Amino acid sequence: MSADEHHDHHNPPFWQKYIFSTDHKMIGLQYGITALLFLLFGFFLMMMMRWSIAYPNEPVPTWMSWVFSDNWQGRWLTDGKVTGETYNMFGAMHGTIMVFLGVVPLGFGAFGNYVTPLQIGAPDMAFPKLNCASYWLYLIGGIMMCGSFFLESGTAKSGWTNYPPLSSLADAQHPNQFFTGQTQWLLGLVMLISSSLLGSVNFITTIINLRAKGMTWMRLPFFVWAMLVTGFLLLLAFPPLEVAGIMQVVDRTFGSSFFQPTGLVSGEGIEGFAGGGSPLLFQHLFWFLGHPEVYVLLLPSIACVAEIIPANTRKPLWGYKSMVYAVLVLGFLSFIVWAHHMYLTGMGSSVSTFFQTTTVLISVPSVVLITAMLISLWGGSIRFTMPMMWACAFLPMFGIGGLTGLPLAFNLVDLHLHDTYYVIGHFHYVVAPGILFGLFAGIYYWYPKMFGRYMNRMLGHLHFWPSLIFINLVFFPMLIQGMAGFHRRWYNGGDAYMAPEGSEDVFGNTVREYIGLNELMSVSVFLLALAQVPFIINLFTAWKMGKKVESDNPWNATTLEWATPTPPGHGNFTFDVAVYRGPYEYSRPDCEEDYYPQWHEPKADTSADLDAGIAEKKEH
Amino acid sequence: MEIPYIVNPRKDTGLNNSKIAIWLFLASEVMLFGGLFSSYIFLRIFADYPWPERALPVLPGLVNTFILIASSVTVVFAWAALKLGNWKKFVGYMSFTIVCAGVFMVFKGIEYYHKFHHHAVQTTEFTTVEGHLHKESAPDEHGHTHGGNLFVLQTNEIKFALASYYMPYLDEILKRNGDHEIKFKDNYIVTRVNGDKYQEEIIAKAGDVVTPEQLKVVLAEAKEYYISARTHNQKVRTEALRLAWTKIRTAIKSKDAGDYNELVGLNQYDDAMKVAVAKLHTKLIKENATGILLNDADSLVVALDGTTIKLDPEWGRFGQGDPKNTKEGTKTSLKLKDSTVLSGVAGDSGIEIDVDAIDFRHLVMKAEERDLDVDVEIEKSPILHIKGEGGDKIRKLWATHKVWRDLFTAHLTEKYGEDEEGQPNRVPTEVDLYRVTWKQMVAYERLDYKVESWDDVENNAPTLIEGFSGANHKAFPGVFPNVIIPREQIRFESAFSPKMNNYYAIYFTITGLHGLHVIGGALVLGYYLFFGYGMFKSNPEWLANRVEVGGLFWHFVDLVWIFVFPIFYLM
Repeated sequence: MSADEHHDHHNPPFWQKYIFSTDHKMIGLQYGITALLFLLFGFFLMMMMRWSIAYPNEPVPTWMSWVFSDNWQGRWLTDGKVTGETYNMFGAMHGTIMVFLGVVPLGFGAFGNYVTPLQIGAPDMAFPKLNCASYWLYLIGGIMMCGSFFLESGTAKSGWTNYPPLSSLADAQHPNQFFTGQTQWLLGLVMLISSSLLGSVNFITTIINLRAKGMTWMRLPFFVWAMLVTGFLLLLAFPPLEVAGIMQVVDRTFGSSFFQPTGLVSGEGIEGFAGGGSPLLFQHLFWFLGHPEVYVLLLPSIACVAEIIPANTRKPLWGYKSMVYAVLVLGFLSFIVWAHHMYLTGMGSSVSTFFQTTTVLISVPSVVLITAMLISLWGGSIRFTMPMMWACAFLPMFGIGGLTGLPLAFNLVDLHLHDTYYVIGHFHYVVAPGILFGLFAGIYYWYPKMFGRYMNRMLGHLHFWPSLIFINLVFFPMLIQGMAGFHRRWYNGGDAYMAPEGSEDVFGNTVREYIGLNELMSVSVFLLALAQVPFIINLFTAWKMGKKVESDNPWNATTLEWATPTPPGHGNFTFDVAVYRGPYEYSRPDCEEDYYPQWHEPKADTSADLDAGIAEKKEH
Repeated sequence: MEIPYIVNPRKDTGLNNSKIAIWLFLASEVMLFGGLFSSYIFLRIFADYPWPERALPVLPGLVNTFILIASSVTVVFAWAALKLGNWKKFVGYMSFTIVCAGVFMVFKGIEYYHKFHHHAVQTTEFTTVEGHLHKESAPDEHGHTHGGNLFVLQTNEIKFALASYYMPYLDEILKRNGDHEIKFKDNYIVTRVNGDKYQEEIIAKAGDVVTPEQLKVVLAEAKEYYISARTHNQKVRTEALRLAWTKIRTAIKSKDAGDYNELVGLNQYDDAMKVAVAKLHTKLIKENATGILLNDADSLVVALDGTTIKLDPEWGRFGQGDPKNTKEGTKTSLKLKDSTVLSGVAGDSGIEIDVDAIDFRHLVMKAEERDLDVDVEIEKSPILHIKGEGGDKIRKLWATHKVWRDLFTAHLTEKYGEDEEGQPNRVPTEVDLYRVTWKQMVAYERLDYKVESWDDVENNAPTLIEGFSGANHKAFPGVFPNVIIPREQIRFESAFSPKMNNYYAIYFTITGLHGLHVIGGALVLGYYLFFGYGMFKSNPEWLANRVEVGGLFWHFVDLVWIFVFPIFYLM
């Protein structure tokens, strides 16, 4: 350990620089690339699911199924069609991959890692080696989960929420419990939780202790605040899920009955467990994480958008302080809303009422955030750069996602909407066109800092417009189908429930009326996939062929990451960083230029001298 | 590049990095154990079986409590010694701390060992007896083998599931079968594809006798063939189905759809469409030139001559749920976890156990739920009707216990009086009333089954040391009745492992995780002890910081135990 300290890292060997790197920027990139690959895989699984929903009686076309070997297809597809069990595997893994392996690592792992230390003027994270360990635990966990596709049992198949007793009985028939998808999923999850534990400890410590001189709390960019709150959510909300995961591993491998009620009957007869456990306990433990997790997904994305909007409207972020307080309140409230996922479990109406109240309350800080960003646009001279396009799309898309959630917050309405496509539509609006658009904005925004080149604008438009159109065609019909009562777990899209014409089966007729939307949504999904091709091309070609940046601060932004060389070297800053003012000093009338970066020393002849920063500097 | 505030605290926060990190980490740990303790509360409140109260021997837990507290004190001394620059003292205190951790784990290990080797058997009427299982033993004069916990099956037929049969099971079954004859029951035919020729070959011929080695070879071959045939067939069927859809879609788009005219205007989900596709699909498979469907039978069946095969109940779910299936002499088939099915006649699979506790609480609970007379129901329990010496002893024990509990009830009323309504202020617990513990068994034996005063039992029970880790079969030979419980009377059977019930499950989970924390903490502290000298020389302040952080963790581990001890050992 101590030998390392004296060693100079100017030219570390390949494996140290790119594989087991301890540099927060490289780790950020590792996180980003891995997360994007996982997102691609999760998207692919969903395409196979959407095929099965739209064309349940037709084989999956070869352009989709080639990914899996013939042997695999022989085992898991029937006449080339996706079976219920296979669909369940895809569904469980789609959710898991998107949430745990895709969006969180991209938002928190990639952007958080890359940008946070730069924005607070730190040379690196507080614990670089922990940072490295955090990435590798994440990767191992992800590989454990996805690798189980090729086990005899197949991969996890009980939804990303993994509810028992279904999940306890899934794969229980295999002699070697360790090598079943369901157990591997749990163990992978424990890895991911350990990874995020290391990550969150690291982030919070870094933000508390490694801020540059003059970087007071209220001068932190909103991005950093969001990361701080996200860190706390991960730190405190994940352990109960780890408890649930460990308990379920014990259930599976040692035959205990934590989540098995007495007298459970399955297809194999009465189960031989001792019984006496409670499936509801798992749900409580799961959603204690599950709900804060939503904000873990959301906050990094909002954080990216909150950085991009002021830089592209050339005016300060409106209501910075209210946003900071809102995000803190949001973080706190997110711990006491979890049971709104469980209205239909029979946990009691007084419990439901409590959680209904807190759930409605939490919409207040969310609305504060989104409103502040919306008002930030007002009167700005908006530059429609690529990141700004995505950021602007984020606002209404996330708005739809949030507003469609309100009906679900009321347990009376939830009776009807629970487990329908409405729920799917709602949270996908939050996560896909909402959060992912925000993260795309982030990629386009910080790409020039990461590689010294802009991403191509034409390809950007080819990516943006089709994505915006098709993603709405995917998710909006879901809201309609959901209100008609389409269940979220139909692997055949309602085929089995459809009544023939002239039937008196009311529900069957409703299904008949709305089943046609399946094709519209599925085709949109395939086109949406096509729309990602320009992005992938852009990502790689811009790295070598993109337009070079003119300066270290290509967007003329004010926050500290733009004070570094491009790309930033090991240790980040080439000068002694000091911060003199708040993060969003755009278009100050007393400045010549329309931005006043945090690190610029005040000039004696402008009234900007009166900045609090200089007063502080004199004290020192 | 150097990360600031590794050693010296930052001025405005007053903390160095690792101090912040460890407190954050501990906050996370609080949530972890908080989740576990909340689960404990949840499971206990909603338990629909008698929660085992004060079920663990207290002494090991108590000793461990003091050991951990002592180590928490010495770890602070070790840190203080470092701060004062005294390496020798540091080594002394730190070594003591780590030795404490080791002793703690040894006691833990002893406790675990005794739990895993202690069993409970619950009858279908919810009486529980606890004790030591007899290992598998030689057949008695009637040719019966009791003991261990194995299913005995006079096996006539085994059906192997080709895709999933599990080698360890197969090996064990073949070993049990010994030299007895194994015969193929049906043909297994494979189709070899040679260019465009198909050749059928019988790799298992009905009636052929095989050795275990030959059987394994044939199974492996059949497995390989089955998987490739499955793949091949699926490909043929998939292509045909794809073609069927294309043909019908094209047909109904044209102006004259011919055979498919009635499908025009229908959508793909309509029944008529599905029927048409299925018809065409079948037709196309037959006509398809790219390949024919191969034989893909997924199992291979062998006949045995009624050999006695003993099966570990962990191999499947047999017997649980419907214990009557396992009654000696019934025809039955048992499905193992790997989908192998054994058919034959159930043998004598009774469990032989040296009983060191009899517990009627669950039975009482069930009887009360149905408003039945508790004492009548207890007398009906099969445990009280076992024939032979062991059964006599159990009846004697229960009769003695009833005398004692009446004396004890009277004693409580006398000592604590009655309230205005004439109800006693204190009554015995359910454990006192309906459970005969091993200590009571020893006392009753010593008293020759004659109890005269309530405190006779207390005065004659084994000492704390004798019962250090629970029922002590070595020190009190001949006290504990030996009985055989027939399999069809058994509802549930388990060692005192997590499987037993949720009390033991959460006990093992929490103490197990706590044990991992102890080991982890000891490793970290051990690292400072054995590899810290270099840093002590170069940067003593940094080492002191590290020890401080490790010590904080160590205190947390201690704190968890302070919660674990009362919750599991005393409540």
